[in-house]
Amino acid sequence: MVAVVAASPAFADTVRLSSPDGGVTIEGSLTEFDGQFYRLETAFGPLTVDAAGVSCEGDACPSSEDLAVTLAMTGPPGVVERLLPELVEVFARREGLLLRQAIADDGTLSYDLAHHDNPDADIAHFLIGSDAPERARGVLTRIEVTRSTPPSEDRLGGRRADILALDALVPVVSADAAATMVPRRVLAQALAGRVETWEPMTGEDVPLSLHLGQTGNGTMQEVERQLLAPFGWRLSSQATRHDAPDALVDAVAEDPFALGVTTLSELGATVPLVLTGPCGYPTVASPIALKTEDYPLTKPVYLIAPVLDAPGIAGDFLRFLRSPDAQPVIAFTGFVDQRIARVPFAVQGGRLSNAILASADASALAELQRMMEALSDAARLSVTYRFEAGSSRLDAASRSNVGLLADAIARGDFDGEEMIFVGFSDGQGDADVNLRLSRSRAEGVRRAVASAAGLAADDFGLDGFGEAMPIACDEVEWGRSLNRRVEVWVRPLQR
Amino acid sequence: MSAKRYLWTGVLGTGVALLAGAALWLGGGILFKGDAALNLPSDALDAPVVMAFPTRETALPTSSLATLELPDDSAFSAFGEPCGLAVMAEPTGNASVRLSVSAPCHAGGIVRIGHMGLRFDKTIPSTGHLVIDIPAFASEATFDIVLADGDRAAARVEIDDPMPTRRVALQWQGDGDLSLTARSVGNATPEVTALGDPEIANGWRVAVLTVPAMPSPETNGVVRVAVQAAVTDATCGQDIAAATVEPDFNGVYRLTPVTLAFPGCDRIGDILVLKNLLRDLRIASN
Repeated sequence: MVAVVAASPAFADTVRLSSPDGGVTIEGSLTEFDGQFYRLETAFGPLTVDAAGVSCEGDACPSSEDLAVTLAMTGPPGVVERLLPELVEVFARREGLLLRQAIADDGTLSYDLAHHDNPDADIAHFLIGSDAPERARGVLTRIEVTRSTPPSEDRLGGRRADILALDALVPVVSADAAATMVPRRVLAQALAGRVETWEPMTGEDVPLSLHLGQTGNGTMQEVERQLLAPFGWRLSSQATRHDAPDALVDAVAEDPFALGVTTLSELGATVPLVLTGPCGYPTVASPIALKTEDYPLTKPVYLIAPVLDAPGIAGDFLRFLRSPDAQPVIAFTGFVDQRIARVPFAVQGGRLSNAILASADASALAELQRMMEALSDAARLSVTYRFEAGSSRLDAASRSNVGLLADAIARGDFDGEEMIFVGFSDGQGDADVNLRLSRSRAEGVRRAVASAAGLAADDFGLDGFGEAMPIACDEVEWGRSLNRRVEVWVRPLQR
Repeated sequence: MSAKRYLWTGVLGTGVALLAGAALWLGGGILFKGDAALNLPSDALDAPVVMAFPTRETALPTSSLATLELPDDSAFSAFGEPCGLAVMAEPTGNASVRLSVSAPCHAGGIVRIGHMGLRFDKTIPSTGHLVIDIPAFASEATFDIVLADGDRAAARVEIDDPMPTRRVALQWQGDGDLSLTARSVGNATPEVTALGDPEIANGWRVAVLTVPAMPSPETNGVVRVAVQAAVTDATCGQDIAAATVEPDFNGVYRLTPVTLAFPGCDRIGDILVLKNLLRDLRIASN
């Protein structure tokens, strides 16, 4: 319905910036003004111009009396309907600000913020929704929340991408459905329309009704990319398509023969199916399985914001979004936050029994025994480090985890405890090589975290157990990439 | 269900105010007409409405029962009851409270009832006694009432049910034809309570949605909450003042003022369905 401003330079927000002598003039569509710099979309691409050196002509130029900062926020449905409004409201209360919400007839939200002692003088306007940048006036900062993997930093044009929250693709059924589990390949077949009954999952030869979002919506693109592309398949043309994520899950919840795909943040009344690989290893989407990335369809939600400090209260809000204080609010809205959780050794039973069953020979069992001795009095932290496909480079969530763990260490969250970086490999190739590989990966992560925390690598323990504890099937690439990992364990300091 | 009950009965106006109120009533009984309800003294009610509860109210205005015994025998109602204002609150189960307001000399007048930042207006029946059931938003629930002449009273009640419910509320003022709608998916059973009186011009009204939490371990559902608003000749092109109450991440109910911007009068007859003004309520056993 509404085009993004940056994509439509011919829009009414065209401005002309001129140097004092009139020698240089730039025309373009004003996308952002942070009080210091104009950002313009021009015929030559995006340009950033220091406001001190130019004068601005045009309706969209910020006026000198409108001193309130404007923050325009866009994102997918669950983010603009729940996550961002809740974060804005909690932020305003924490700051002791007066908050007034306004809702337009199309449901778009905006907030005016003011000090209690001067309620009529707004200090900020926070606008949420796809047309937020167009409703904005004055000192403008734009942020975008997206489920898509952002481009590399040098291509973000003065912006940075941070993980705001975690989410995941989840196959769901009604609470009354017979199925509780689905192999990943069967799920792909069902989504592609190659399996049309519940027979492979329940043994019952009853028709399966498939519910999907519209083609082109972000979640469906991820479904095609992660689940179907490896097989070269497309989403079925026979599915019932829904415009809104809540309509999709409501339809699935009411039909015991329905199968749908949604995100963990948008379950409604549906129930997630347990996902299995070709050799077992059941995993179900849960906050802890997303934090550890042990659930294979985990997908971060990114915040893309200016690298430079946003002005005034908008800058405070962006810092709040990245702070520990925002985490319980994120969890409350159904997304998964980035607080570090602990999983005691005792509740690792499922993983261990999987590992024992998978142990092909005596040396693998011996390695497992050594691991149990080394870690039985320890707890696993939810931060886990994984690598980009075919590379020793950490993936996006893991790079973010380096900073998260370093911050937690610096805060003193693990004072009085010993922290051990523990590497694991997949089961391909020689066991001795894998053992060395797992140790060297753990060494790399230990060095990165220690350096980010301003400590020496030797302050942390190190171990590697090679292929001893797979958590997914080595037969498929997505399983191997889950198995190649560095876990972090803590236990009370030995005296 | 046991409940400890606190009761404040207050006559907070002066004897003169009571007399003045009685005189107005006797002198025609047309205390409120048109926009009169707008003029209700409500300094306390209009205070910043950022709520943080459950809290322990410490300084409720109270006065002794003795002041009810008025020396002046002219201060009696048409039924011979002594004038004055009293309010009593008692728990009725399901985290609700029965509020009994006695204002014998204000029959036909308007009373504004406030609860934890929410407010709504009611007409006092010809008996001078108003009884109303109100869903509570705190286990230690306070209620304050104000009459047109400034008389006010307050009551507090402690609800021992462990607030087994989840609630959201919408509050609005004036002729906006607003309603709270709840569509249940799964087996949650929502209830909507309407408070206030559409007949009172520019009165405040409240709609409360209650979902009993966890009736059984098998409960798994979501209640889709929407606000419906009719575009009428009274609302088109207008900004309608409203407020929402929802629990925050700590389970503390918070009130947020909100302005509803109605479309222009070329769209009279449309029904706006605002889905993101209030969050959906998810009731899950997991």
